Amino acid sequence: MPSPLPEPDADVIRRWQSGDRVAFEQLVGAWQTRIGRFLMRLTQCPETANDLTQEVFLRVYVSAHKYSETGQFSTWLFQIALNLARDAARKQTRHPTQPLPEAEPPGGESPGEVIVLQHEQSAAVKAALAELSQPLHEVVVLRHYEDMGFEEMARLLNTPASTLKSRFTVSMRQLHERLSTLGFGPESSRGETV
Amino acid sequence: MTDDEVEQEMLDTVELRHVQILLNRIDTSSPKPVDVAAIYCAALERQVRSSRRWKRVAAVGATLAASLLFFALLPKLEVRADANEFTVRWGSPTPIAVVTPPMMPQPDHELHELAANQQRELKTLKELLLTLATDVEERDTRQQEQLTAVLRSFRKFERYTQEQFAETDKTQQVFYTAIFDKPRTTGAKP
Repeated sequence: MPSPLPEPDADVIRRWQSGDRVAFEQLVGAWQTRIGRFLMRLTQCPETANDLTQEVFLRVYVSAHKYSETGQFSTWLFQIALNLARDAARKQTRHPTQPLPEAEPPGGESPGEVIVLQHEQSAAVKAALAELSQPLHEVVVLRHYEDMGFEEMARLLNTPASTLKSRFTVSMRQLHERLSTLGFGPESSRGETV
Repeated sequence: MTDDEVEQEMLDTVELRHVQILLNRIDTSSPKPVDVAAIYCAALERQVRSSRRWKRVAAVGATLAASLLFFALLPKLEVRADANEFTVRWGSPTPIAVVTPPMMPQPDHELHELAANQQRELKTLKELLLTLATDVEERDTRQQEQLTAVLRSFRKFERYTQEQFAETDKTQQVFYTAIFDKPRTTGAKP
């Protein structure tokens, strides 16, 4: 899980808003990896995520005047990324791609088979995540991968924190059920380190 | 909390933990670094596109406004090209006051006769005036001739008087010389 990044310096924000390219590039350098990974987990498509990351920072560049210093920069940035990811998901719904293949249940124990097992696990988890509804998927990504508190998520998603807690629980249960169905439940996991 | 609830919670915690472990197993490739130069280019393109869009909107708006104005004002505009005249007129023309000649009363027979009499009298008067004028002119001519004759007589008498005076003076000279035995000088007193 990523460590929470400190909010950018007020001076950098001020310079970025006044059109200073150096300040903008500082912001890009500080946030591009985190936003890129966030979008990759939301979209589950590296190409789409890279394109969206580029678009996020283009919007940051052209919409500098829209940012209000009263809010958190990270929340504003994630809001842009989230909106773009939602738009992309809507477009993808109109032009659906092939679903991920069903993962094979774990079987072998040799080193080669362990690698194969890890790949299968990864594919299965991705498939399970993809099957979640969009609000549940967003909550999992923000809570689990971005380590956001429910209050911060509430500001970002404009939804009460209690609702988000409930969604998180539901999403974890759905993931557990789906992964158990695919043969990756706690009882079937072998030799895994916590 | 009952034993069942505790067991269920523990189970939930184990399940949750397991799901979290699996979620961390997803291998996420590193995102591509952001191309800042491409962002600047794209921002510039957007600005240009936006500018063009606003220009188009402005042009369409102006055209629309001009069209509306044109169609609103067209009925009031009149353009006419004649042989030696080109007229552009705005609005409906002011009505020209048509001056109708006063209706002449139909002259009746009496009036007609009266007018004829007056015409005749006028003609007579005119002839009379012409006669009088001719007479006055003749008289004037005659008077002029008489005056000329009187003037001529007067000149003749004046010449005669001068001759008489000269004759008297000559006689006086002679007498003077005869009496005083010397010619009289001018201005000399006897």
